[in-house]
Amino acid sequence: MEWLKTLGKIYKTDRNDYFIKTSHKDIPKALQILKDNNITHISSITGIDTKKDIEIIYHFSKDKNTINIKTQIDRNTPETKTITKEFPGALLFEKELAEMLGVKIKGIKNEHLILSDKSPLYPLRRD
Amino acid sequence: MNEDTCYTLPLGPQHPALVEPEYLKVHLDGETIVDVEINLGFMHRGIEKALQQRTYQQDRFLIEKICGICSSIHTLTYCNAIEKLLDVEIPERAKYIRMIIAEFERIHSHMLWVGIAAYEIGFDTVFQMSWRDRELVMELLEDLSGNRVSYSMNTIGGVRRDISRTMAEKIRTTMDKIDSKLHHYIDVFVNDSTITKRTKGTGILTKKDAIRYSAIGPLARASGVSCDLRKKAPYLLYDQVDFKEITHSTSDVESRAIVRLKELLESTKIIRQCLHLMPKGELSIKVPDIVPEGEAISRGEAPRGEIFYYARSDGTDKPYRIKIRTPTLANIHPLQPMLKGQQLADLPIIVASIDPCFSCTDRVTLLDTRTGISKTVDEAYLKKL
Repeated sequence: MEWLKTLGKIYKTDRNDYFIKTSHKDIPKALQILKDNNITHISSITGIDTKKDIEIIYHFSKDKNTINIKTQIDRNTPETKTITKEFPGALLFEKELAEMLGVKIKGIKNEHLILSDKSPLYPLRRD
Repeated sequence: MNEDTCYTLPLGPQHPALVEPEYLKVHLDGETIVDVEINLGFMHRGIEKALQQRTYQQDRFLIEKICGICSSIHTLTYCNAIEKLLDVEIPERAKYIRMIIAEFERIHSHMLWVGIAAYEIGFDTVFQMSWRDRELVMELLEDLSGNRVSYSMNTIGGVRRDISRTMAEKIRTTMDKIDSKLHHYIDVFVNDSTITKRTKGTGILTKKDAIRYSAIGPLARASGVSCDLRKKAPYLLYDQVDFKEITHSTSDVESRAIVRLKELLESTKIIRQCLHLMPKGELSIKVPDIVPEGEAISRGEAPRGEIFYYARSDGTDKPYRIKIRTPTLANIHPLQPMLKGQQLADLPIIVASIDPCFSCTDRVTLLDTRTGISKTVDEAYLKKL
């Protein structure tokens, strides 16, 4: 698993779970590295409002290992590019992220999937 | 898509037979499905938000309510995540009891699915029989926990109830009965032409697509993808018991039925071994209310596939964030390639073949795009097709 270091900084290893921090601009590069290393399964995407910024964690897995790539984006204009080109299974996770935290996902339709029109905007924001 | 001959079929969101509704907008060319749009959220209850406002112990009760069928695997995976954050190891006996309950849950969930699948293709005898036989394991769960649905067996640090020697004997006898029933259902699903005519070659999800769309659980295994976390990433003591991961390569509805039924034979095998290997000892350990700062991942093999929990603590008694990804969310997207090119009449069984926590075909509107005339039809009409 030496190649994991090329994804970014490994800040935590918990048994078979690897937590890696990478800058937002390096995400496309990280996705390519994952593909090159035969990682095909995305388990989920977590969005967290830290009050300072929005953290996005992409959770990939292969056999016993999970590879969790964390990146931070601006809280006032949260925007990121879709990863569905590389991992089509991420579509519903991205839509959930968009609705729960107000992250604009470039490259997919940002329409309501989960919340109703009357729901509060971005319920997982800590405002 | 030929706009002159195309219909739009709004499917759902309500269905009386199953909870958790979902809405599928199906585009049809005659009777052939050309595209599917997915809409979710009719049962969105804001649980992730509510979890942030309660303590870790209170969250356990709320998490139990996420799903009526797989309430145990939810709390199991949640407790595993919090135990990782606390850096504690639970007693060995508790691990075996957690495994036994998880396998009971798989048995009653898959038996329920067998009934649903038979019902969707109009074979009500099998539906009634499988639900009758499902009661065998439901009674065991009630005997063990006092409840048929939310067993509340798992707690952070272990389990809440023990399995007595008398109970263990009853479980062994029941597992033998279940095994013989399962052999019968496997025979029915493989050989009965009433079933195979509807299931063979229907709703194909190729191995390539299963991997591409990150499909999980029996759906992926029925397309030949090896992904059983009990084997691939053993948690609890699954690495101490002998069982096989069931995969099948025909990728159709029949394949999904075979995988589910055969893996139940493995479940009964696991339960017998757990009863044999279970050492005497404590059921749980005391854990602090305050969870140290950190983050943890926990995954489990729910009846419908990989269940995923991410937990982050800020060093208080309430979680800063709990992220839950239930299996159905991951398996909805693969419905698109499964449905494209299929007949409208096969839609109920294909949708049911992913074993979703929702259903839909209670009331639908057919819209003729050529004339603009719409007509409302019911589930009975769809089944007659």
